Amino acid sequence: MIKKLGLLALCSLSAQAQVDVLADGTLQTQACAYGRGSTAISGAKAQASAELISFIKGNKSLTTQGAQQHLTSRLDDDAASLYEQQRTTMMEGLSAGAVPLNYSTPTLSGNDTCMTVSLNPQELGEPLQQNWQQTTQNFSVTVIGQGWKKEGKTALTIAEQDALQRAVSQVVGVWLTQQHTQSSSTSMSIAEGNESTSMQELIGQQLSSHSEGLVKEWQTLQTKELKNGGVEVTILAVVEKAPLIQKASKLLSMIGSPRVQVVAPEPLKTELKVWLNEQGIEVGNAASLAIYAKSTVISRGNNRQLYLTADVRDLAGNIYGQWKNDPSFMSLPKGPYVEKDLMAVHLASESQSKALHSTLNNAFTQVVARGGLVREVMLPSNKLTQPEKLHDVLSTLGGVSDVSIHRQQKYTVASLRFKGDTGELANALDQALMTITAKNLSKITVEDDFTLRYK
Amino acid sequence: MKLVKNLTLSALTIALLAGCNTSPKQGSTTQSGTVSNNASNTVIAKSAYEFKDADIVMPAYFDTQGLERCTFDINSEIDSCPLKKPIVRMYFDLAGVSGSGIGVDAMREFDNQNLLLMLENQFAGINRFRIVTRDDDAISKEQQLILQQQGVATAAKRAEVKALIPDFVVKIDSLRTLKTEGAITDWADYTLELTTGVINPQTREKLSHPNLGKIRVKSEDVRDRSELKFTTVSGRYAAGFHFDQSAHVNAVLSDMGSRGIDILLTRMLSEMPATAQVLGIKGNKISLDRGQNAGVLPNETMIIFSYEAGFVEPLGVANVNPSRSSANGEIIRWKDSRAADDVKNKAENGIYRPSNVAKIFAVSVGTPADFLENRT
Repeated sequence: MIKKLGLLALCSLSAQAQVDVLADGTLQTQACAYGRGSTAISGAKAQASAELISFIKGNKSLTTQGAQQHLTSRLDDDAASLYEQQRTTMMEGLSAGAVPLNYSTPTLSGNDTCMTVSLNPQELGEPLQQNWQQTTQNFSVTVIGQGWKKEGKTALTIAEQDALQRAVSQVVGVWLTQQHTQSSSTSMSIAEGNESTSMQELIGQQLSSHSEGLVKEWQTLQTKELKNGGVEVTILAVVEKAPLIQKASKLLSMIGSPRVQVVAPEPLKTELKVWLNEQGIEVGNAASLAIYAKSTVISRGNNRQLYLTADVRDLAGNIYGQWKNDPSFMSLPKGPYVEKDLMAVHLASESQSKALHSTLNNAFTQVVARGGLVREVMLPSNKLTQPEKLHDVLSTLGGVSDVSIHRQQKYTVASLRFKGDTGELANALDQALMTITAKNLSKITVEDDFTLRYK
Repeated sequence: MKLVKNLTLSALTIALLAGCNTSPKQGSTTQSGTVSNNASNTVIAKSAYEFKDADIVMPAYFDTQGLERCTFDINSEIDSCPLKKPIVRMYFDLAGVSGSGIGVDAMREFDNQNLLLMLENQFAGINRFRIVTRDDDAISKEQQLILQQQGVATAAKRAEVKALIPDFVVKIDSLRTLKTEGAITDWADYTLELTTGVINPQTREKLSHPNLGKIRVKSEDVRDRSELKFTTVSGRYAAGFHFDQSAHVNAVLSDMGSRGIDILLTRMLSEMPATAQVLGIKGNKISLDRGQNAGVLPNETMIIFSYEAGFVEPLGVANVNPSRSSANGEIIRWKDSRAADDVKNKAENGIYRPSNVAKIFAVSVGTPADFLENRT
């Protein structure tokens, strides 16, 4: 008898709710919302869900039985017991939006869009448990390296080194991808597609030269002879995550915020400096990178638009990246302050400033990718005892690349790229040049970030 | 004598036979017509209340596409949604007037920018296209004001939203001519001819639809001939209409342009009628699934028709008024046909909702009867 009463209560329909209970226990209701399209559809869905909730909640009290109640259809006993079991789950789930509701295709009715929403208690399963993956401290990777005998190192050593570098590079790749998916606000935006791949290669390349500190342990799985006395090794390497992340982040932040100087006419110069400071990019006159910027106001009928360009150069004149604004962004009527107004709006705009930021980042990345900034080392020609060896000596210095030598009056000028800072280079040079220079060579002087001079 | 008679008979027979052999008269599918040089006029819909049974026929260009594929977000509608409207930019081109003669100089200085803006306004109102305005001055002034009143950050944020990219270019080409008799007392007879081209700016294709034909407006359509009378003395203006002053001439030409645009509008509404699906019929009342959003205008005369297996059956004529995304109307006259009776009977006692197989649609028959009075 109590069960029958419960059933009656369960199937009671209030005048507003209009929830139907079908024979298999499915609750169904229709709701309409004003308008068309997704907003109206979600409005109708929400309203229908709310009606279902109030219907289920309303059945708590078995005593409120008015004259309006009636049975739309007879429930079989199974459906009724299932309903009772699932009622709490449904109530909790519906308000949390976690219960699977079935929606009909929307229909139009005058100005409204209507949806039929149904809830089948049989479809309710156990709530899913969230699986938390244990974060590991180490990455194990199997990699293959190849090597040939060179400069006093055995083929096996070179092959092993190659394999270890690959191992580090792989782990960097995994980390960068994670960084990308987890947060978009790393110190430097590892953006979509190509950029992220090139970044992965670049950082892998840079870090792998220090693979010793990053690979915790490794073992050779297989060794194979190659043609011309080469060796191929397959190794299992365990890479530690923490130091890798530390080094990679340091490298990233280094790329992200070098110091630049701004070469531009006013008012663009000030505007750019302010903007660069806001972006966390340090501005100073003694910088090794310079941003050359120009602005032109062009007339479009009665209105004016602004063309802005900025390129990033090093002191040797290499251009690493160029940015152009989108002049169509805004046009203003001609007037005395139109250039300043347009400039302010362009630099305040999210899309424009994002494009500028990404160009600068790309340019800074380019600098690192090409092997660091260009420096010029000036040596008095008459103090070079073995000038023919200068090129070789400089090339074998760690972190130095792209060496080229030319004469400039009394000086022999070596221009090279170096990955580290200028002081580091000066130290390395002092050590290396001793063997091929005269004893009375002065100490090296650092004139600026670009020029190092001996007297 | 007998021989002569025989010979004559034979000759007659041969002649008769020859007569029978002449080929039958050829049919003809064409006839010669005269090219009219008359001024164009508007063609507008009859009010639904004036329709007779024989008038209830299908207009051209009706459409039976439903709204199933629509997202109702104006910027992301796909081509198969009838609510998708082409984005157009409009041009009003006046061919230059060259040469010299009475009143020609004054015709030359004609500013069509304002005529263009008028064209944009009127076309925007009928909701057949989405129009990208060429009113750059107003836009840049507005941006300047936002910059002044709301500041750089707001101005920059708002400027992130780009102008619409036009799918098509609607270009009105026009020709102006002036005719005078060369007498001492004379009148100026200006003619303005307009044609409309819809151009795909990427492929340079001129589209065949909507075909608005050629519109000819004569000065006598907008001014009484006596107003354009003038007198010259040895070829110079002496009295009457200032044919030699551009302000006076432009006043006439602007009126002619404006009239031309009105005619253009009415032709556009016949070329691109508004169509809607009938959701339900209750007695004589109908509920449509589209309204203002599909370009249904107030007091629209619409033919109600059923569509089944590729056949259309006009059911009646209705007077329809739109709301934003739907419309309501009343069938003023049911067609005297079995199909119409069938629907009428079903709708008599409650709401008749047409099935998915035999859908019912409504299509406008052209410019609403009171449109010219209220909107031009």
